[in-house]
Amino acid sequence: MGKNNKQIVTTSNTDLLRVVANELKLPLTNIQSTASMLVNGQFDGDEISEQNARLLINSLQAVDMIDGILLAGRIQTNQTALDLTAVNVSSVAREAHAELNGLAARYDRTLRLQTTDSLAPASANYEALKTSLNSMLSSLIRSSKSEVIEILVHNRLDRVMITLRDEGQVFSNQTVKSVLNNLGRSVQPAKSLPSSSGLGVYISSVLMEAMNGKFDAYTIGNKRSITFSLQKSEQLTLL
Amino acid sequence: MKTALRTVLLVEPDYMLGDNYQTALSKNFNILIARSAQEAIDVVDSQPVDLIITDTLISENNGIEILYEIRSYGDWLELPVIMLSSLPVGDFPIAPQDWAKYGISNFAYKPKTQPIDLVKMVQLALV
Repeated sequence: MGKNNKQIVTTSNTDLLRVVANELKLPLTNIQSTASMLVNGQFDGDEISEQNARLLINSLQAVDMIDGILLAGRIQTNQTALDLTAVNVSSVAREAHAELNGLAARYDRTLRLQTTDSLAPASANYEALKTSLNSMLSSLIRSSKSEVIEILVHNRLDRVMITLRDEGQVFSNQTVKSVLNNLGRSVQPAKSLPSSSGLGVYISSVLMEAMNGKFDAYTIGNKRSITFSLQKSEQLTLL
Repeated sequence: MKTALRTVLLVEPDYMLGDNYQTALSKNFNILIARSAQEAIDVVDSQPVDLIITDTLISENNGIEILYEIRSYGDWLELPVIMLSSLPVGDFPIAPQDWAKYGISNFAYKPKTQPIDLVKMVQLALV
């Protein structure tokens, strides 16, 4: 490996590490602050069970982030290949919706799921798709300006799509493209991305690519759409 | 006679963290919350505030820009500001020796600052 390549890899690792570290600090800071208040007896009665629930939500968020980054890292370094099967995308979206409703409620947001059971299955890896969707959705919950975030599951020609839609211009197409273009070389420094989105973009784009899918984002007017697009499966068995 | 509580503006974009800081601070202070730089400026514009606690990386702007904005008005030159940062002090763009110049009363590294410590910082700054 030439000197320049070595430098690029080092920069990539450092930038990615910075993104991961900064975003991981948020759930950890929440855990630290809630735990310290519980220890100091600063909550009473019903507040205590709510704070315990928040500890759980933030712990799971941190674990999800770590799992996502490790999986994306293994894929990027060719240590793991994903097994693709026929996946019911509606089920994945329903699970993500159920798992992240609690987080959304704590940020005064509503997750609105729109799907149907009649959709064709997609060629995907169930866990990777869920990790990808959860990762992006939790980033949106923390950083969106919308009270409602829509999760739309639909068919488009030979593809099965999940679209996350909210209001906002901050998460621009240019930002997404810039992150995607730099994959494998470097990731945008955390400060140039909207809060809590760099890691979600990175994990989602790597995992979608590994499933022969596409990850994209665009805005029309004040509506922002983030799309996960997968090929329809030709297998008959649904997982 | 009961003394009126001093008013603290807390600029914290994360809802859950903001709730915790508000719960801890509201026993001793009247707390106003802003989620963005613009909301913070609007609050300071519309009512008297005794101190600002601001996150350093908020959505469209950052806490340092809020600091510049506030310091650009004569009325707010002396308003104490506590910076809340996810970055440790060594990575914060303003060095400790320059804090006084920018009117920074104190600096809190969020991952290691307990809400109860924040209360003490505010009490100290408002003496």
